[in-house]
Amino acid sequence: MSTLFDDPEMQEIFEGYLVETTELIDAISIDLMELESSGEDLELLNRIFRSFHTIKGTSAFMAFDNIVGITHHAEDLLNKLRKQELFVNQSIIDVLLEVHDWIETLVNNLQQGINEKVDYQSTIDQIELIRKQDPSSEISPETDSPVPTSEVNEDITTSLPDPFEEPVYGEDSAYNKILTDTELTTKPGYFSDDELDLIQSAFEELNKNFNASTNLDFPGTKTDVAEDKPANEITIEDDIFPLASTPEPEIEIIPVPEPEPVLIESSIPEQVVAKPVPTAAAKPQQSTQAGHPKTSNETIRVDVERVESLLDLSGELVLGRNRLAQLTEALDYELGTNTRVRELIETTAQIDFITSEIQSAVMKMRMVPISKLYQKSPRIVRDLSKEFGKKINIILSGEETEIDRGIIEELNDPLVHMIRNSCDHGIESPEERMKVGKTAEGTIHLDADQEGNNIVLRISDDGKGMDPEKLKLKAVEKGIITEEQASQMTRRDAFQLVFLPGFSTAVKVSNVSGRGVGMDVVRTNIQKIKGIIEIDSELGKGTTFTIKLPLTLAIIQGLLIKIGVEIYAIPLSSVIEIVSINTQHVYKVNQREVIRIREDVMPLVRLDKVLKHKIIDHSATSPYVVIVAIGTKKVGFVVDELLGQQEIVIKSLGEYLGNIPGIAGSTILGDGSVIMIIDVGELIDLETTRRQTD
Amino acid sequence: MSIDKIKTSENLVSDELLQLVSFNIGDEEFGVDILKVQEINRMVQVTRVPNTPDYVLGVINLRGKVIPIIDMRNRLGMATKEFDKDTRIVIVEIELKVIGFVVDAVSEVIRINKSITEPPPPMVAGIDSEYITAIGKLEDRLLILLDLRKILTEEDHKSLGDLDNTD
Repeated sequence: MSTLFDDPEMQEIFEGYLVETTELIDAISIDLMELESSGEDLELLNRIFRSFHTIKGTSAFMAFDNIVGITHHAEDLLNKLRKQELFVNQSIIDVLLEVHDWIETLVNNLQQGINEKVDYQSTIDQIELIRKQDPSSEISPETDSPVPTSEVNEDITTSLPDPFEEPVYGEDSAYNKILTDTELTTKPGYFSDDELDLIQSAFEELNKNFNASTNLDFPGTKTDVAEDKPANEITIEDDIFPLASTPEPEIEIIPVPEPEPVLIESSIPEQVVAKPVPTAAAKPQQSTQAGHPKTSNETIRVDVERVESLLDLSGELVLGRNRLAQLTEALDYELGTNTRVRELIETTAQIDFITSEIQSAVMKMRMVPISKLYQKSPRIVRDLSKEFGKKINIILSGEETEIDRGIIEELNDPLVHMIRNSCDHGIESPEERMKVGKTAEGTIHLDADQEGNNIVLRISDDGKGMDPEKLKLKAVEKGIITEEQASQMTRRDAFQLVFLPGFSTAVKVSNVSGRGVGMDVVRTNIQKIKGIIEIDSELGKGTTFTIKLPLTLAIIQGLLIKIGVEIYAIPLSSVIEIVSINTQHVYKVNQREVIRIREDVMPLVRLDKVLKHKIIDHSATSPYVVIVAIGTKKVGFVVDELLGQQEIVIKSLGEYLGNIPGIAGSTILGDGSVIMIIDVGELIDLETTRRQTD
Repeated sequence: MSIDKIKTSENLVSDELLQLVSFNIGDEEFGVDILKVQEINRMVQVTRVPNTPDYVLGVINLRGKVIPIIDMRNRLGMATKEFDKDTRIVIVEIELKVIGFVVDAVSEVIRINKSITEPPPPMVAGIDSEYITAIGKLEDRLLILLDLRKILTEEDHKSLGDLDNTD
């Protein structure tokens, strides 16, 4: 952390500032990307404006003048956009992204305790240049007013269609309140930015209500309303208040619904009159909050350590609960029908329920929506498509899928790399695409979904795909595999070749990929968080990376098994099936035991040997084989007893014991006993080396 | 070490009191700094951890935390012995790591003056002297002051491995 402030109180404020500003910067990035694709969108523009505005405000408070300086220019530019004196175009988005990057750099510097000026003059010059293109640039936001407020009010009410004879806006409606408030609190002819926001959203609301009212269809009045509506808008836009501009009147595009039987004439005035008041009252409040979308989002920030310790404590609570239940049962047995015992049983049941609830609530605290992970990808795609001269569109779906925060952190780098990879190697240039009859614009699709106890993340592109034969050839050429190995490789195995270190198919080394580092790092990172990555590709059609991840690193579904007297847990995610051992299907190949299950032949692993169990006696027993898989490797574990499936909380064995080969960690069972969790991948490796040394 | 030197060190620390928890392994009595000891428990079910050194008995559940347990006999290279009603697990915290070690019995908490301690002779009871910080000369017996940090946190030594094999 920074040492910019000696005063602990100020330091605390500063830390809060950093968090909030970082979130706003992220939000700006997302919003700008959206703006680029959606074009004119007043609401979006407002949101971006407000984010910049908030950054400016808080930075000014913290006296970070560098940030204030550049943000101010961005704000000016956005103001023009909001007033439709300028229209969103590529260079505007570019320059705003540049501003975003500068702020990000400045904030990052602050985080490291550096408060220095950076040279963003060229960006500012560019903003000024764009602003000057505007014909009406002499009108700055401050000179827009005075606004004849009463006139606005009159104008709207008087121009309303006939059925609305009663005043639409009561004395105390928010709409009126805003106007009077602003009249009272500001000098004539001047509105602060926040007030402009308020007024503007009130106008937006008005427009919406007009649209709504004009859309209410009833025989006879329909055409009248439709004719009135554009007139209203024109009055607002041109004569009174240029800020309140809205997109085109929506009348043409909104399909007019068929009249519903309920909508008889008498009910209409109340309905329509009733509508605008509550919404108009609610809207301005909402919009003031929207200026800080993330901070007021009913969230609090909690130190991760506190959540972790809460998780530990809730685990202990479970143990206490179990003991309590046992004691109650014993009491019930000893004392027979006793009212006190009855009460105790009831209380225990209640505690039992609450404990489970607490535990699942704590677990959920660790979960965050995967959209956090997506955040940066549109920007990456945008920058890369520019760099490569390609047209790439990114589609995000499944943002609401929740995943453990620890996993999200570990996924960040692999995802960035895979997106880069898809942009670079996957998607072809527009010319190439046209040649093969595809649209010029390529698409990358990010999708997340929960499938059972896994989160599945897919990154697919509709690019040129991969040729397994070419991959094999390349691998042989580079001496990674032999020709013999290549000939035995399945399609799937061939795709896995790209994850090998030193393997790169890029003909040309580009800025982002082609150095043969990256994909192997991607796989290592994903394996680190117990994930599996697979590739499917079709030549000419595209490539899909599928990443399968555990829901959380802390809790897994485990299969409890017994070897001799010891109980172990095998992560269920790697278990494929369980079969009864049939000695007839056990063969010896090269003096090693293998088992044949249908068409598959796989090595058998005697867990007692690998785990160095003291009592080795498996001549007659060990009736089950648990088939596990890591990637495409399948192995059968021989076990004595199957105890069932259970949700288990992974506990580390601590620093002292460190990383034990073949053991992923431990867990505490309901009876308080500790059992080991088998690390399937490591155990397979262990067995391989054991066999080699045998 | 010369007598003179011992005398000087004695003089320097003569008024310093040591508070120790003393425990027995075989016929020897050992002492560890009481501030390092978190608690002393009766023997409980220990879960074996595969692929660990022999002196690691396994792990236990200490109120929801998984704590590694060391067999002190084995660690010091002494013959193994069945656990009985006197067997205790001494839970200590060393360098932020919580570790338990099994001893034959815990006898008492004693205060000794540092002046009655001596640097260790090269070999005591077959234990490598590097694990011993000092010898306390009590009226009727000797107390071996152990350096827990060395015993519990340092890498296994080759010499110890050899001792294990002789058992």
